[in-house]
Amino acid sequence: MKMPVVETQPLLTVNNVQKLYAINRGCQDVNFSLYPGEVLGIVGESGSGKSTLLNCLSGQAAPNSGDIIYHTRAGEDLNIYDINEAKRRLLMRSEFGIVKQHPRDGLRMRVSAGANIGERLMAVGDRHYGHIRDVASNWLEQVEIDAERVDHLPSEFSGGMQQRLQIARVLATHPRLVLMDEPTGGLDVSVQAKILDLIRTLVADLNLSVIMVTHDLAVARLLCHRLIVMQKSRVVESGLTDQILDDPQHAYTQLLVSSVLTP
Amino acid sequence: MSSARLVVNNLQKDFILHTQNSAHIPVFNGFSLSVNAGECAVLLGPSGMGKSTFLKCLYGNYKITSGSISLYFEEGDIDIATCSPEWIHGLRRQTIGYVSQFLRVIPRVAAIDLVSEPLLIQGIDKDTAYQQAATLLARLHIPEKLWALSPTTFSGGEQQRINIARGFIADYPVLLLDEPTASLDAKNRAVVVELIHEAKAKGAAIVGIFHDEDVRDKVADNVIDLLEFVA
Ligand SMILES: Nc1ncnc2c1ncn2[C@@H]1O[C@H](COP(=O)(O)OP(=O)(O)O)[C@@H](O)[C@H]1O
Ligand SMILES: Nc1ncnc2c1ncn2[C@@H]1O[C@H](COP(=O)(O)OP(=O)(O)O)[C@@H](O)[C@H]1O
Ligand SMILES: [Mg+2]
Ligand SMILES: [Mg+2]
Repeated sequence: MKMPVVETQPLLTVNNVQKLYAINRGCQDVNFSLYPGEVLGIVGESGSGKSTLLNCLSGQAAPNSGDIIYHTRAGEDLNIYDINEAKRRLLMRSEFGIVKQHPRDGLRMRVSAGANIGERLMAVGDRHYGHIRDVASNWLEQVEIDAERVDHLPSEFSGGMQQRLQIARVLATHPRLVLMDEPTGGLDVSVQAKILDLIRTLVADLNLSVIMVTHDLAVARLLCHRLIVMQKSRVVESGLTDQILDDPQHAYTQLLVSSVLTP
Repeated sequence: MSSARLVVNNLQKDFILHTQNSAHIPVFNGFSLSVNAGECAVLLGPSGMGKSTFLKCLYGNYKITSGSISLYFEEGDIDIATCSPEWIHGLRRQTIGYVSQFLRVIPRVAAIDLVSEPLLIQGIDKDTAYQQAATLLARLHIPEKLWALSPTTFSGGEQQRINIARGFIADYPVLLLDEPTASLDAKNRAVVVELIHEAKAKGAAIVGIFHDEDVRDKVADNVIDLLEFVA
């Protein structure tokens, strides 16, 4: 039999990253690699440092120490905090996509749904109005928003629709790495289900690489290939999602898993 | 066809339950097994002995306490006990098929999508994958009107057959079968026996657990009693 073909070039490599606000508050000793097409979940209780880590990874908060190395489309390995601000911004815009927990933080509430998507396209160089409008309508349909609502303001949308619009806005520029912090956090369960289905389908269809923060182990089970478990700023366990959830090794992970009814 | 594909050496599995006074549950120890291409090894042992645990170790679902699980490829061998998650992932995509005892259904995903998924992940086009899924679902007597529905509401036997279809659709060179015939009627049991024979003919190395003595006699090349290795 033939050996499987496994990707050996990580998209993102995280070495000894530390960002602390106080003793054991923030994140420290974080090491992992993310491979193309993988969905990595960061799980752990509130305050364990998940968002701090994600903010470091998404270029929004420089770590106190450690390296975050991103392998670009052009094949360059960039330490994302070693490059200048302008270059980092360009990198974030062209290769990263960041989905915020609250849609209002990731959308521009005063411009139309179509413009929310169009703006991102223009930011990466698209200048043709007709094309931008077509792409925007197309994306609205992909996230199951009626394309006729292209001129409506996000504030006229429900919370679930706003979140789907934010996802469309982020994905329209074809990011290679998508970072999400509790993307279904504040939503009702039925609305949450629709967004999770959407994310699952898009991730598979577009072969996206994703790092997602969630405190919900059922969400992790549904979407993530691999998990990192954080407690008090440290990674206490990492591995394949089903291994972590079905045969957790660390006392804290066992506690997390045993605290939910059906993870 | 006598080259070993799967060699388990001195395998040990313990559970330590930290949240329950660090209870220590040794399951098995010193377990060794070798399976050739085209062979089916069958595990015996009473309920609770660790049969499912063993298959889960082979699938990388449970961590291994000590010992090794080697898979032999043309290019060399891989030890599941020490391989990284990316590799386990790759092995599950291309090499190891697993029919678990219970189907873990993804809510809201149609039966036909679940069954064709392993082929899609291997990069096979949607039409071909759907066609093969349909053929397999029909062989396993799943009525066509159920194909577009999520198996969440299916009967135990129907869920099991969805699981079986997922395990057999991709011609995996290594197959793990955890009581696949437990809740099937005679007609569907016979289909499973046929599928196992076809997989063996294609060279699959199979490790299975079968309650049904008749099925076991029809498929087993080697029977191993786990009771000897109980820790
Ligand atoms: N900007 C900040 N200033 C001070 N402390 C912070 C800041 N951001 C986070 N923290 C602290 O760091 C710890 C981890 O927070 P966070 O990363 O938001 O956790 P999580 O996302 O897992 O809930 C918490 O104790 C939090 O109070
Ligand atoms: N994830 C787990 N955590 C703790 N103990 C487990 C786990 N899975 C199985 N066990 C224990 O291992 C033993 C063997 O179980 P299992 O492999 O399901 O047996 P069998 O399949 O032979 O009936 C049982 O005592 C069971 O409780
Ligand atoms: Mg947070
Ligand atoms: Mg069992």
